[in-house]
Amino acid sequence: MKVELDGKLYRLSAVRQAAREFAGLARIRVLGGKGRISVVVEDIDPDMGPALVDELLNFALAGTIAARG
Amino acid sequence: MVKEILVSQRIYPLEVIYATAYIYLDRCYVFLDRGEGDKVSVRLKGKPECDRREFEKIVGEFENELVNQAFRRKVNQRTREVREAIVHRALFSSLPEAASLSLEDEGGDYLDDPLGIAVPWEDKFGKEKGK
Repeated sequence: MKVELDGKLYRLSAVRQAAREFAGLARIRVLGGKGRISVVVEDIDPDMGPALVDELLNFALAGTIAARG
Repeated sequence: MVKEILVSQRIYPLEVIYATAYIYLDRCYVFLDRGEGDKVSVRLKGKPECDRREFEKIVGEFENELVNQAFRRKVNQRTREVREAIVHRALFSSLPEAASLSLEDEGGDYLDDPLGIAVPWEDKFGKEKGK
């Protein structure tokens, strides 16, 4: 599954941190460039299901907001 | 259950949208994206344990919270100077060295009474006549 995020609304460092936190539950690649952040999520833990991507994005948004103070 | 809300940044600045989103992260999934013009697309998605009725309630509360956060921001901006002055004064008065230095700089101490405030009224103006 691939998700595109707006680079002005999400911080790349926060998305990367979220990817690190969820690394044990799926294979996650984060690519930044041209004002967009691409998040590719594969091999999701079957116990987690698609909700993992939603949780990952919530985590990334929380990190972005916290970083902006 | 997914609901998209288009929020104008002219009415609700990004920091207001962030503050509102942060409050709801534990109740639903929040996804932000650029909308047309100055708009931000806020997509809310119900968590697995959330039923339709609960989700509709969350959406309504989210929209109300946007107004609440926008108002808080306005009050915050309006009262910033007063709050800063209070904090400066509180911090300054908690430093005895700073307070005594200030008095020394002005060349006075707490016993000085240059305006004659401590002088009794009778001594200053004499006793009332006719009594």
